[in-house]
Amino acid sequence: MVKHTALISFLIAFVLGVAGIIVFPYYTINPGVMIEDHMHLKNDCLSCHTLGFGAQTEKCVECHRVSGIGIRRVSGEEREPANTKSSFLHQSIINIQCYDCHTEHN
Amino acid sequence: MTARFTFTKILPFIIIYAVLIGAAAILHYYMHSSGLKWTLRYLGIAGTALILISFFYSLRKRKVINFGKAKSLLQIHELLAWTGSLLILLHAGFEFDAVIPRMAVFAMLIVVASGLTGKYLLKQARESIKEKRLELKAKNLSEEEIEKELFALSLIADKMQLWRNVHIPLTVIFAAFALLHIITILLFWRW
Repeated sequence: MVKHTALISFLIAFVLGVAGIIVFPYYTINPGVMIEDHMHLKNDCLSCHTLGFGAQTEKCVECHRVSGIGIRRVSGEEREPANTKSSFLHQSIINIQCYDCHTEHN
Repeated sequence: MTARFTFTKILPFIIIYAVLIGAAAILHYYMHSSGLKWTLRYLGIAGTALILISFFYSLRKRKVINFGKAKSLLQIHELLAWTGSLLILLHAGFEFDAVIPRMAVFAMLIVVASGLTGKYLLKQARESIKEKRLELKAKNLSEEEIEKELFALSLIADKMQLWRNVHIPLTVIFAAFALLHIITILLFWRW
């Protein structure tokens, strides 16, 4: 009897937790405040994360094209003036993942 | 009598517990902002492992397993669960960003407090009652007067006796939220 009560309570808590994570992911599992520029993605974890593999560079560069970093904004608008240092830096990158330098949850 | 017990036993217990939580939070903050941040993750893993090992006692008590002496397993349970909880507290600190792991920590703190109540406070309350009873008997008070005198403290002891009603359900809640925390970390974190 005791065992069943414990198991049922465990399942209820677990299912409620899962529901909370699905409905309010930012409040339930966000590890730190999201940087302002990505705040609009705060409840859309999978726009950056691949399940099981963290935030993969492939997903970052879908929006942040390496060739455009420092020159063009994600919206497509030209940077005036262009940040040539940043552009040069990012284009010289070999074998470095975005998350090696950029942390989005602080 | 009740007031004395509250001030000399219950209050120091609460203060020591609060100071311990505060110290863990400060140490966590220090480790987080220094080069030791990476170790915090492993403290969580180590703490969880210790707590899981401590559950051998719970399995033995419910006769799921038959090896080991229940009494020594209880001592191991107390030691490992206490150490593991401290490691997890250090791992978690006082960060309030995510609700799921936060609820797990709150549940854990209540579980530990209830366990300590069962182990120490209840024992001390019973001893105080015993001592006081002898004292009152020496004063030649009638049985009825003694009971009257000890009524409030007995009431506290009776309430404390229910510590298991908190300890076990909250352990279940702790387990559910800790498991969710582990699953979400495995899903969203990169290793």
